[in-house]
Amino acid sequence: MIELKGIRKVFNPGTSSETVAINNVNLKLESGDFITVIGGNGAGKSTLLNIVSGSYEADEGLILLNNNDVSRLPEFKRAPYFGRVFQDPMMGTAGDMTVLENLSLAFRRGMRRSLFRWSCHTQDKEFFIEQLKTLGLGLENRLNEKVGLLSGGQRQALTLLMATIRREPSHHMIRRDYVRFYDGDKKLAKDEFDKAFKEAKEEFKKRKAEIKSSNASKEEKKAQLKEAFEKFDKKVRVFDLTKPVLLLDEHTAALDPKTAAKVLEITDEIVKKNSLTTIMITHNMKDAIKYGNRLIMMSKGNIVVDINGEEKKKLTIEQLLEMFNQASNDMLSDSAILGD
Amino acid sequence: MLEYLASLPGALCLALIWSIMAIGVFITFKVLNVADLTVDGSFATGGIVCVVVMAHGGHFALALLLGFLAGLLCGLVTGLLYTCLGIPPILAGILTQLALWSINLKIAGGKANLAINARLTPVLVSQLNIYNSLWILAIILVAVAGLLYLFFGTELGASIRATGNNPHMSKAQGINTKFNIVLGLMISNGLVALSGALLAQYQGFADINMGRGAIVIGLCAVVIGTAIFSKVSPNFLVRLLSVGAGSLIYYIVYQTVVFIGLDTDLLKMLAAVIVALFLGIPYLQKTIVPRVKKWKKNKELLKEGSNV
Repeated sequence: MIELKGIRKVFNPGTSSETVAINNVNLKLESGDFITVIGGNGAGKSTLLNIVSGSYEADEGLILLNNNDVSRLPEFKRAPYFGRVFQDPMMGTAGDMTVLENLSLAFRRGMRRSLFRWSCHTQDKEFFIEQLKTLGLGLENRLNEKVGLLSGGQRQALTLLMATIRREPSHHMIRRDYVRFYDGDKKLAKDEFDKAFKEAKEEFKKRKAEIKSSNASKEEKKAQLKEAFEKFDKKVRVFDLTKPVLLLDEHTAALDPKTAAKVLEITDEIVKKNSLTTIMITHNMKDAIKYGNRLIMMSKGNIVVDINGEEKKKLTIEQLLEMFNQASNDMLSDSAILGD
Repeated sequence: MLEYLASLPGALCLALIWSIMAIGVFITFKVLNVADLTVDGSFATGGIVCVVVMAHGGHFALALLLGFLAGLLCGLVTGLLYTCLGIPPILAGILTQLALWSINLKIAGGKANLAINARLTPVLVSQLNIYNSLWILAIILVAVAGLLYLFFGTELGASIRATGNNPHMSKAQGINTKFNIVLGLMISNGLVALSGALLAQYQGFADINMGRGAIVIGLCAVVIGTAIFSKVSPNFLVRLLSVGAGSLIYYIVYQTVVFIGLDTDLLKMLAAVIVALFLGIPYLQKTIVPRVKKWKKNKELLKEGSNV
């Protein structure tokens, strides 16, 4: 669950070009929500997303993941919890590096980057190929090509994949994130994890001793040990709850209509498959209605329309346009009265 | 002519020494995408630290190591000025370079130049023994290039390459770009200082001004190397070694120009002109050439139009 509380951002404060980009935004998303954001130029949509991801720092307000504030974490430390795709296809990938290198970089998001491991592992390669195949763009055959040679649509699809894949974290990291994002007393979370971990480990140790003392063949022992470890690992992974929140900043705006439709389709597939919480900015009202379970409209740094569930399903473009015009008219008349 | 040929092994030695520095410049200029001007200062720092250590009876290997470490520190200062204080990288480099001039003078004990007696002190490389030095320097160069190639293939190294290539993407993928920039600047200046230390041993003295214009020579090697070898292979090791080749070409040109009898006062200008040309030509190719083509085509179109 992600919640934005009282977010405010002013650019160039105290100067003649002072602009209130985000006035006062409160927004709460449940896990698995797919929310589309529309609004005119300068409404504050992109700024909001950049604040969530940490590119900008908000002047006021909290960003809560499971009721835990992340607004003080720097951008790169927030990265494992937010997957991002930008409007510019050039921005989400490293053009001078190969497809494989880009995926490998993304795979270790939020993990220590060691001097003693190669950046591309052969055992990960198969997973990447499998994932690339699901995109249906033939990228699995171009692993060793520079990303700069790919088309905009291919780069966006690759960025989408990069934003959503992540290597399984270590037990230590699972514990850290479980405690960090526990909704309630941190000590309880620690105790809960440690207790479960200890139990699982004891069981694994017991099983290990059993296997060792048994008179099975070497291969059998190895297989049994592996099985026992997997069981132990599975029990710890129950605590791994962090899934990235997907932040899409008009990621199809720079693509031709056909490619844009394809990338949107891929997006929807990935979101559904992993049941990701998603915020998608779009200029296209049709897409805003078609995708997601909730729609918000922003104007002058405020959320002016918020349509949910069944109501959103029945929404038509005409209605949306009407709301859009009304929102901008309200703002116009307001500013006319205030005389600015 | 004989004199010219006899001078070539010496030039080759110098080329090998400077190519290590050029690889340092390559790391900042091409990998990190930052123009770092600390080089002029850290090169002299490496040389002076090396000579001071040896003057105090230190082993030549220790002297090289300490020279390298001093270079790391220089890079650290520039890196912190850039990442923590938000000073633009070019200016940060200039500030460090300026400060290093005083620091170098202090390390040298207030003297503008220091000599080592190469006949009495054991050294790794020396112009008194050019052919031996040639081998040793070639091995050092290949070792440096090889190590860097391996380094940039690790997770950490790859994240540094990504930082230089696309900082937005790097941050979004959880890479600590500030740390990587500082680390890259440190490695770069460490190599530059190592090169300075080797030059000091080779020529038997270190001078407070020995680094003046080093950045331009380094850039020369980088741009010549990439211009000639970029089409051969995009492989990183090839790119690193092509910088060495660029340095070699620069020194052969340099030696030839000296032999022809050009005023040596003009050599720095020559280096600057070479860099300007090699950086400028690709730009002109991109902008002027298509324009000329279009112009010619339009002329033909106009002609056809008038015929009708």
